[in-house]
Formats: sequence, C-alpha cells, structure tokens
Amino acid sequence: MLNYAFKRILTIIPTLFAIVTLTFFLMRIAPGGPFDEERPLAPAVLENIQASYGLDKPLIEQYFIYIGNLLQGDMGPSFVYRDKRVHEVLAEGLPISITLGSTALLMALIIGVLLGSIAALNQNKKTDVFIVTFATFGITTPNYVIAPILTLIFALTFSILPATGWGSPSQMVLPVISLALPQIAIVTRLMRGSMLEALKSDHIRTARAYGLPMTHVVGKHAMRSALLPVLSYLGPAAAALMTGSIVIEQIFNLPGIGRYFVTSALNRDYTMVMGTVIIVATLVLVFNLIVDLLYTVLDPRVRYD
Amino acid sequence: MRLSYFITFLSVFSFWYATANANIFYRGNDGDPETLDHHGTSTTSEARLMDDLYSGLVDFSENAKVIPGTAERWDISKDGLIYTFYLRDDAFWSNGDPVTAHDFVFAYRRLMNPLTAAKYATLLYPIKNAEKVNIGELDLLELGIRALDDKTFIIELEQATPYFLEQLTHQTGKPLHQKSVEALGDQFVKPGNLVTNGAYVLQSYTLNSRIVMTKNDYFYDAENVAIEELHYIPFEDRSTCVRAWEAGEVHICSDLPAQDLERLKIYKDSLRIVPYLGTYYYALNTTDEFLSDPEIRRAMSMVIDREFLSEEIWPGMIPAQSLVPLGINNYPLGSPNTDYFNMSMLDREDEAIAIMARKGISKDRPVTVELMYNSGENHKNTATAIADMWSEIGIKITYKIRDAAAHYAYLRDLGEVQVARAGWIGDYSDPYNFLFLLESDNTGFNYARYNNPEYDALMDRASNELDLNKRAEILQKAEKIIMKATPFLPIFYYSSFTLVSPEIENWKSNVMNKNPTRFLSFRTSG
Repeated sequence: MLNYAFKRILTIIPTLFAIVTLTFFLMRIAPGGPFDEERPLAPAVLENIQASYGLDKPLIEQYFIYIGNLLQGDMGPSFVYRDKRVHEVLAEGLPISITLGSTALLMALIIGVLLGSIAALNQNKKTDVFIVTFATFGITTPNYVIAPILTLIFALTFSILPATGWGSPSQMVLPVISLALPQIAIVTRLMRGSMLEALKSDHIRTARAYGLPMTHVVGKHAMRSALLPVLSYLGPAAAALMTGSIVIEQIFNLPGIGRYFVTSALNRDYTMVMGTVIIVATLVLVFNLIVDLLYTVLDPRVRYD
Repeated sequence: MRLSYFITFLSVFSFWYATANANIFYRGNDGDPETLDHHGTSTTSEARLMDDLYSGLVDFSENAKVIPGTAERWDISKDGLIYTFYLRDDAFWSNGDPVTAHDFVFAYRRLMNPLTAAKYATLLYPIKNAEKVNIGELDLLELGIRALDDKTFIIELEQATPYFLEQLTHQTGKPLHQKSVEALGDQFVKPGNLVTNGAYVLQSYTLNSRIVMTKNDYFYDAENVAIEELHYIPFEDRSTCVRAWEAGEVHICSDLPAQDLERLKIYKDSLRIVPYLGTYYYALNTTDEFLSDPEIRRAMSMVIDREFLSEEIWPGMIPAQSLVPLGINNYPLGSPNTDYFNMSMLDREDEAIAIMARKGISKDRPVTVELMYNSGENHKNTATAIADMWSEIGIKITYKIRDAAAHYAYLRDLGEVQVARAGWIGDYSDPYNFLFLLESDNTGFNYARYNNPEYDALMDRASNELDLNKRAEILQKAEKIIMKATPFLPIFYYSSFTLVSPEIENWKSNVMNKNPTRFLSFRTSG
C-alpha cells in the first residue's frame, strides 16, 4: 500500500508537467493579450510593457524561463496585479477558498450521508419522498439563485446576517449554506441509491438473517459499501469546492480564488491562468489519490500491491 | 430552541459589528487596482484611490474643477509653453518630509522612463521631448521639466496645450516620494512602505477585500478633512454592491446594474444618475468599399433610433447626437447640431431609405455588412436592435463576436473590419480628447481609418490656438465635419450611476464622476 502510494505520487509529477506545458502553449493560441483593453495603448508604451514582462522574447524561451521560475516556486508576475506575484495572489485567497470549501464539503458529507441513509431505510415512505423532493430541488436550483434569496431573507429583511464580506464567523454562514446546498442534495441522492443497493446485497441479508441489530447492520456493514460511490464523487468535488466558486465569491464579495479561473482567462492574464491550472490539477490528482487509498480501507476487495 | 440562541447571537454580533464601525467610511469601488504605483494605473477605480492618496500640482475640487493642489499658484508664459508652479510651504509627505519640486522631477522622469512601462505616459506627452524620452530616443534628462529650487517646478511644453492643467489632474501628474521609491524598489507600494502626500495614507491592502486608509495628519488641508478612516471595498459584481448598500454595509456604490435602476428609484436622492464623460459608438471603416460612401454612412446613422436604445437597453444613458459628450469643459458652445436629429424618426427613416435607393440598395436588394462587437448582454442587444433598424434600409448584418481582449486586439492590429463597436471615456475634460480619435495619424484609436486632411488641419490649428473661445470654434467646425462624414456613429453618452448613503454629506455628482473623500463628511444627526 505505501509502495503503491509512493508510485502514484511519482506519476503525479510528470502528469502535472504535461498539463503545465499544454496549458502554456494552448493559452497563447487565444487571440489578444493581457494589455488589450477598450482604451488601446500607444504602440511605444505597449512595447515597453511587453518588454518589461518578457513577452517580446520567443515563446519557447518564455516557456523555459517560466518552467525555470516555477521549479523555484515562483509563478511569475501577475499581469493584472502588478504589485504581486501570482503565487502571492493565490496564497492570499486560497486559505479562504479552502476554509469555505471544506466547511461546505463537511456539511455536505455529514448531512448528505445522513439524509441519504434515512431515505433509503424508509424507501417509498413519506420521509423518503420528502428527502428526495428536497434533493431534487437542491440539484436543480443553481446557487446563483439560492444565494441572493438567502441574502434577501437573512440580510436585507431580518438583518441577522451580513450580506457581504469575509472575516467574521457570521459572514461565513450564507456562503457556506449556498455552496453546500447543491452538494448536500447530490450526496443525498448518491447515498440513497447506494444504500438501497447495499441493503439488498447478500452479505447484508446474511447479517440480518443472523439477527444482528439493524443499527449495527447499517452502520457497520451497509455503510461501508454504500459510501464508495459517494467517495468517488467527493474526490473531484472536493477539488472543485476548495478552489472556490466565482458565483459565490461575487455574490458575497469574498476574496477567494474562484474568480481567477474565469477572470484570468478573460484578461489573458497568462501567468494567473497557469497558476490556477496548476492548483486545480494538483488538487484533483491528490484528491483522487486519497480516494483511491480510502477505497482499500472501505472495501476489503480492493488491494494495491 | 438552539436556533433561536444562534439567531440572538448573530443579531448581537452584527449589531456590535455595525456600531463598532460607525465612524468608518465604506466606499464601494468597481474593482481592485492593478497596482498602487500610480504610474501603473489606468482605470477610474484606480484614479479614486490615487486622488485620495496623493495631491498633484493641481487637484479636483468637490465639483471636479481644477483647483490648486500641492502647487499653491502658477504662472503660464504668454506663448503658453512654460508653466511655473510654486509649491506650498506646508506640503508634506505622510512621513513628515517636505514635498519638493525634486519629487515631481523624479516622478515625471520615472513616468516617461521606458523601463517603468507606464500605461498612461502618453497623457503627459505635451511635455517637451516626453514622447521621445518615453520611446527611448532621448535621455531622461532631456525631458522638459526642472526644479528651479525646492519649491519651484517648471514644465516646458512641446506646443501650447490649453487643457494641460486638466491633464495634470490625472494620476500620472502626481508626485512620488523619491527617497522611499529609490530605497524600496517595487516594494514601495506595500502598506507601511507607501509614503503619500494626499489627504489619506495607506494602512492595509487585502486583495479583493479592502484597502484601508486613514487621514494623513501631514496633509496641508488636514484640518478640513472630516472622515478619519476610509475603507475601499472592491465589487466585481454590481448587484452585490447594491445588496451590501441596502444592508448598510457600504456607503457608496460606484456603479449600478442597469436592470436595477428602476427599482432603486425608491431611494430618491441617494440614487445619482449623472451624465458622464464618455461616448458609446460604432466605428464604420471608411476604407471599406461599401462604407467608404459618406452618404451611406449618414443613412446608417440617421436610421438608428437612439431614444429606443437608451430606453429599452441602456436605461439612464443619454441618446448621443455628437461624438463629444455633454457637459465637457472648454467647449462653451457645445457640439454642432446635426440636421437629421431635428427630424422625426419616421422622416429620418424615409430619407435614409431614399438615399439607399439612389445607390440601388433596398430591403429587397440588401447588402451584407459585418458587425463586430465584444461579448456582453447589452452589447448584443444593441447590435441586434441596430441590425433590425438597418434591415429597413437594405443592410443585412452578420455578426462577429469576441471577448473584450480579443476584440480590441483585433481592432488594434487593424484587422479587417466593417463596423465595430467601441467606447471612449475621456481622460480629461476637453473636446480634443474625443476628436483626436479621428486624426489620420492616430493609428491606435482611429478604428474608422478616417483620413481627412481638412479635419487634420483644423485639429492642428486648434492645438496651436491659445484663445479658448476661438479654439472651441475651431473644434466645433472639426466636429461638424465628422458628424457629416460619419466615420463614427455615436449612439449614446455614458452616464454614471452611484448610490450614496444618506449618512454621507457633500457628495457632489459631476460629469467627471470624481468625488475625493477629503470633501465628504458624515451627516451629523439631530
């Protein structure tokens, strides 16, 4: 198992390298550059700026300079925030996105698993119908609808929670709920399905036939196999949640990094595009690895040797 | 039961939060600055920060008029070429150092230094040799500025520039504290390092969250600065700012979403819709085979129902009848009248149809023209509506849509264009700043590739005319020529939209959309 984990970590490095290279060149194919705005720059000024960022050098040379700097932990200057390097910008926002994302994730996991299991155990009863309705609502209502409605109710009408900003616990409540709600719904549905399946499987029927108490059967045996699909989903979902959401960040004016995934591409902020891609790629690879390793814990049939 | 405890806790907390910060001015801004080094700035949201942090030779008044800043007075030579500024004795940096003419010399040379790569260096090109210095042809020392002594700063111009004082209000004209910039390099902008000479001094800067400033006690007019602490809060999304404003979390929203304007009217005086120094237009490529005919271009302009566009698509914007927007300085007579704007929409349409019929073009025998615009819901709606209006006179539109960066790069690189959407916000309040867009040698901005020696000659004459009234007449003639020739097709003048909290006093809305914080105060209740 340790051996396997080590091997997997080793494959992450060339994968990342390939992603970085591909992104670097693909990004440059897009027309326009970081300094093309409504008010055009005088040609001489544009030349000065491009020279100061090294954009006047041949692309291949720029690539090697970038890789060289990256290996030393420097993601280069941001074209949009001239006073900062890309890794500084990301380092400021990432903790906020991670705090927000992991809180939402935890909420989704606990509530989703709980609701899904309850629904499965009460299949086709009122509780089940209620939970499934809630889950369908949660999946189909996008958070750019939920978030302003929550703000309208809790911030503008009852004034019990702030509408925007970051820093105090009360400012976390609405963004976390908005972010978690669709995830709770998805996890609930996944959990309900897999729990139903697990309850029908042979080993659960055997356990029940032995007269084991229901809580024990569900909590210890069915839960383990029912969690597997949820886990597969949570790997990539965790990466997505922790890198922030531009929608939630804009609606609640939060200083996370979700915005950069969209704005950096629109602004042709080349170094920032690279930075965001590196972060997402790393998180996806790492979370997938974690999920694969967790499989061995939950499913005795899975063994890596 | 638990929930109610939780709600009580939150209420108490938010009450504490609101009252603890009662004396702080929360100023919503359109976004974060690219940098706090004013030589790297270009946007209006950055200008707001710079106007609060620095005082230039001249500054903006509460009504955005030019007033003495760090220079208490100045002389202009008879030929308009030499400006001598006398700095005030009580001008200090936020660390207590006196502001000297050498700080201005340092800042202006740095601005023009090609290595600084200042985006807006062009704005001070009227200074003698500035352009050549900026492109590296001349040494920095050749720039037409010098310090006669610690308190006298002299600027020599390339040619008389009647709007030069207006240009100096721009952040590119502000000084820099030489010692700290030289000692700290690019770290001089960091909180704790940044030394400024304006009404406020930087305390902290959290990206995408807030920029905190406090009153600069060394500022020469500090005794009249009422607001002690100021937080600039960037809003990427304008609707979010509106919600924050309604929840009492910010005092100002610097821009508002068009679809909310109607609803926001319930706030009466707090909602400010004011003409702004900008024009939204379509450029018609005059070198294009079909569009080279000025009569066709005129017909295309005639048939556009601008009232409809500003009512249905751009509420609050003002239908444009000229390239130069309303309320601009140094233009006492205003823009010339263009005959067809006096006609009814139906008559205009008839005449346009008649013009096109003479060219053999009609609804049944249409010509296809490509319209290019940058993506955006309202740009799309505008293009669709105008295409519909043009279809009446036999012009069939195909679209080419790119995102903003790609759109403007394409225009800049002189890609093949027929009709292109563009907009222009004045950098300073003078008609020249709009009319120069169509000078034939203005390759970067003249998307219409308009080339008219008569127009160029008038623009040259205006540049050399020192009498502001005579100059305005010349510029008016020039504008008349382009309104007739229609290389640009003005659609509407921009308006600025602001929400101002009733708690804030002395917010004077103006065409420059400038409201330095030093003039504002909290309304004292009672």
